[in-house]
Amino acid sequence: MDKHWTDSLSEYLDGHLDPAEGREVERHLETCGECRGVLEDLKAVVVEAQGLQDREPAQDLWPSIAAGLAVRGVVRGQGAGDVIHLEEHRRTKAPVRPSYVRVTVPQLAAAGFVLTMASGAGAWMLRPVLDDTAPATFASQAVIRMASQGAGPVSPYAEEVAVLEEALSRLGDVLAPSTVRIIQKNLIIIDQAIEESTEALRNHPNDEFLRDYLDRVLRKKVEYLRDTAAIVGAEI
Amino acid sequence: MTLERQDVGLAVQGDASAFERLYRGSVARVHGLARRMAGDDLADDLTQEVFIRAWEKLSTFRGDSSFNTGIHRLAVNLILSRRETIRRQQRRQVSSDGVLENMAGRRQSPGLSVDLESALTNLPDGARQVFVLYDVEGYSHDEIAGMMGITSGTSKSQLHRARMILRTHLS
Repeated sequence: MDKHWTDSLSEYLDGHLDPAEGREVERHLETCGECRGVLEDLKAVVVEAQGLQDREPAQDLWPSIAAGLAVRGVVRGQGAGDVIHLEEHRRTKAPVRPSYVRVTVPQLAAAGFVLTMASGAGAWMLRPVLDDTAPATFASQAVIRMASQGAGPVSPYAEEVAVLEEALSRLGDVLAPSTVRIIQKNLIIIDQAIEESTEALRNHPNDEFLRDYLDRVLRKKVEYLRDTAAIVGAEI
Repeated sequence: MTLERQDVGLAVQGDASAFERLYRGSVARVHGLARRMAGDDLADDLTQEVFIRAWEKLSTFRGDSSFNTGIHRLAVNLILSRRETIRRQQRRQVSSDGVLENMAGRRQSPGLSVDLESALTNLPDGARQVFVLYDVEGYSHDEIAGMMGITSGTSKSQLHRARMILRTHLS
């Protein structure tokens, strides 16, 4: 088999040779069975390539993409008032990272972390309260403790929080354990902030700053639950 | 107005549900392109990045071309811009030249069905990318040359190289 001829076969097949070159190849093919065989193989490869079927990725990538958009602050929450317009996002967004986007569990964690820090007192909340081996539940420890201590639900969002936690709990067996742990860790951090500010307010009931601060943390919690529920596809 | 165009309009206003519908309608094609161009290991990451970029560029999809066309072109450009990263990643996984020598000299038995998709992953980067863009996606050599920063002649020779290797894998 002459390499000179085989090298021309793809271009011949695609009709990219000029007429004189094409006639030359055809004359060669009449006498060379080996090149005719190669040409048939090349045709088969092209037919095969054109018939390749697209298929969905093995795992649904949407939750990760939604998490990536949430981290960038562009996914809207449940209510229409939560819509963040794209133009606003474009004006404020950080430059696109040059490396690959990894928007899975770590970004959920980052979203929770940013959220917590944004509440204004993240540093003192980050105490060693996290337990990787804790069961996969989203129950709010702060609310449970407050209720058991007779403090009563202080959150105007308590009802919505309960609904969202219940919806997320139903996904406990469906989500990857690592995802559950990340969500749980973030909720524990937020709950810790709620618990400590509730305690502080109990000692200083007239402190406007503490009252305002507690309200903001409670609001952050319901926002985090809304976003998380939207990202993981919880049915409310 | 088509449903797709309506969804683009809604997504531009920040509607993530509309964007999810657009994702559902086009993810198979984008993921297929990424898988064939960059391999299984990077396909998920690239697909995610394409859709996040697409969200940021949604307003550019409101012209005459469909969302599918726009995101496909965006995917091609993004994957090609990541060629060096893809190359490094694949170098870590296999010594591709050695594998190729093996592949090229191994004729499959008649009747043995060989997955062209699997064979693609073992092609040299340039040959694989040109093959996917030309034979699978239907771009011309001039378009490929422009996108990859090579000459049209190089594109043709890479295509032929890819086809010659792949022919040994068809039963």
